[in-house]
Amino acid sequence: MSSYTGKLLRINLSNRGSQIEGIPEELMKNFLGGRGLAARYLYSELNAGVESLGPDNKLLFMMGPLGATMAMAVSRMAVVTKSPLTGCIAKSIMGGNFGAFLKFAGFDGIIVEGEAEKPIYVHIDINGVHILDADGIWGLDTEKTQARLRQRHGASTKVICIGPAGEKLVRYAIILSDRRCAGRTGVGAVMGAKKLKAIAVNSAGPLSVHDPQRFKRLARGQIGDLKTSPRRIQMTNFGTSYMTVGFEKMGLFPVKNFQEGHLEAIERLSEEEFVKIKVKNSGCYGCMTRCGQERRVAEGLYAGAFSEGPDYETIWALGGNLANTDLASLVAADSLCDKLGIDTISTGNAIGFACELFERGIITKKDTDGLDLTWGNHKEILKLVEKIGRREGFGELLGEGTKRAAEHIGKGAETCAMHVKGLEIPAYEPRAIKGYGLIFATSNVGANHMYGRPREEFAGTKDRFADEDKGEDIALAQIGQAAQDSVIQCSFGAATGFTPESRSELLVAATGFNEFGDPAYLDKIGERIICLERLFNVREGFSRKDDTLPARMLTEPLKNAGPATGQVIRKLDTLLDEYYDALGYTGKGIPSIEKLRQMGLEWAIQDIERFVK
Amino acid sequence: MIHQHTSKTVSLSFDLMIKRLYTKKTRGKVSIRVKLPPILQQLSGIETCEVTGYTVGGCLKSLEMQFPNIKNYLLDRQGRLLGIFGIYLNSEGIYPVGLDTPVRDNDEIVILNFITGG
Repeated sequence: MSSYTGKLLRINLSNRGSQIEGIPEELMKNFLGGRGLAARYLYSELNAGVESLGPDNKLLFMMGPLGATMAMAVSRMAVVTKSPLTGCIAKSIMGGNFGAFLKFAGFDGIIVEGEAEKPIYVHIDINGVHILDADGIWGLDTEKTQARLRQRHGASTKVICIGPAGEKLVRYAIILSDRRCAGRTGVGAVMGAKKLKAIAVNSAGPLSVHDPQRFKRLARGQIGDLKTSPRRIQMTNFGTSYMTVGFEKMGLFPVKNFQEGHLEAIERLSEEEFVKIKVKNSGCYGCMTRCGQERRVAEGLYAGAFSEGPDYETIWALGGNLANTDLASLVAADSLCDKLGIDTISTGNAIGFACELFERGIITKKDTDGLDLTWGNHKEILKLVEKIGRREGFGELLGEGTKRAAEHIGKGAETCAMHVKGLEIPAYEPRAIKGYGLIFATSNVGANHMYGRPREEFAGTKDRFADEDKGEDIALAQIGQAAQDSVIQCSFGAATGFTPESRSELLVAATGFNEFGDPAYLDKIGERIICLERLFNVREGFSRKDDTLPARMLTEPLKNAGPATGQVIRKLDTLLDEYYDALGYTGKGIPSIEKLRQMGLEWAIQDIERFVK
Repeated sequence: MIHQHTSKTVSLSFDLMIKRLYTKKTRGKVSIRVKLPPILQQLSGIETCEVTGYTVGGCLKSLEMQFPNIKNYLLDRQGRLLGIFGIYLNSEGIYPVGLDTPVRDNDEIVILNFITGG
């Protein structure tokens, strides 16, 4: 017995067929689950150069081996595909309940391929897999879509779906379940391109683990640790909102599209202010932390606005980044993004880009459909969010992402586009924590804060302003994140109550694979995963030239950012050399042939030999 | 339930809270050691220091009075402890609900920063 179901559901939308296939044990042992297993399937099944929004791209949903068990903070689901924003491999990890119930239905994952002739949705229940017309839900927002499917299939139905933005191929559209989402890299646009509105699951099947008694003992230990953990309490009380004010003091909080690091009246966005409008907590399957903060605006212009959020990233993206300190407008904007189905980080970054262009006179009201995009103008921000989500007017251009929008606008707009490989930079100023700069530059999915974290720089045990000696730490951080995303373990660090050893013990008790008992084995899996993701990108033509940051980070000293004022990333090339050395990549940023052999990826050598030479 | 209790505790002005704590004086004022997290060590120039107080909160006030620069990074503009920091007394996490915890001789307060993803 094992906590893996060992089964994969493959759905072909072109011929409206589906089949169930087994997952080879070797793949589980080498790629673990979630992000790793999905990357392995995608790499093997996708040819280089496939159009990300075309029928040949594939969309994978993959659970981890601990998902749907009684362990805490592990029932997350990885979504992997080729990104319409970057052209790289895409990964986004989502919380909620859907993944656990997918496992209860008997599947570790789903591979969606092809493209439907007309809008459809998939329903999975004990009678099988049903591909049904999406009449009546196509065009609805994510909230109404989920409500409609629950009406149709029962209140306990778990749903993942896209909103109008995914249908209209906004390149940073999300996939949402309850109010949790796979938010980054445009996975919702791929789902929309396939005309797949939703997947609904009704299931109640049992899930076994290899050693039930040992597993129960270990999981109870985790629960005991979490009950008294101050970090867990902090997350339960505030979610990630508690980071905002402290980060601004440290100079980590980008303001006005990364032009500076100080936001006047930032206390209006503090966790204390958000607690005042908190309704209750919410959380993912099997997690006692319940970090979700359901908030409702009681009065004023946005009275009635309700959202599970905004979290730190969104407080930054639609708040600080736009010099907007109107807290109620953030709840409204967060809710609107969720309903339309767009990534709050990319949306806020794209609006910040537009505000800076407006400030510099590169665009005017003639370009913005009459919107006055002065900093902090929250009424206009809300209007622009709506336009982006519905791909209307100026919103259609911003919905292409900042990279494409800047190329279209020209006139120097490129200097204001804050992205890496096309993915908009999230809520951390790279000049104020240079390890994060290196993570963003080298990430195989573009600038993603969930592609490893420079924990020692945050803690202060490593100098966050140092220009060198970061490559190895950052490689290790990315390796650790890849393993974590394959377990799949929530990224809220100690809030999950895991140590590397306790995680390994749980994995052995759950799966019966003794190899997982060695934390170093899991690290090797992590390294294999980022190596394979890099191969995916190399095959698409990416190399060292793409591992970079916006010129602003490399040439303009950071302004008005407390202790980080004056910082600039002076030696990106040195950092890249260190990073490639640590991972055994060539100077071009490509895994060496020897490295592929070490990683057990010999079978991929033929794909990249010509790039290594 | 939890958040209501915490909200009340945390939103109390730091100074007012400390003033109340000082008035308890149920035991003798003691001298204990406070260890700062590396991120605050960099900004303040100190690693550890001796402080006096009756409670954890009182000791933090003493720290702030000795090293005013720390205040800039430990507290927000309203004088409240920043959410990114956690307080541990002899390895037991006590913030945000236990700043009124009494301290004894030879106790150690450790301040750590809470930084997570998301």
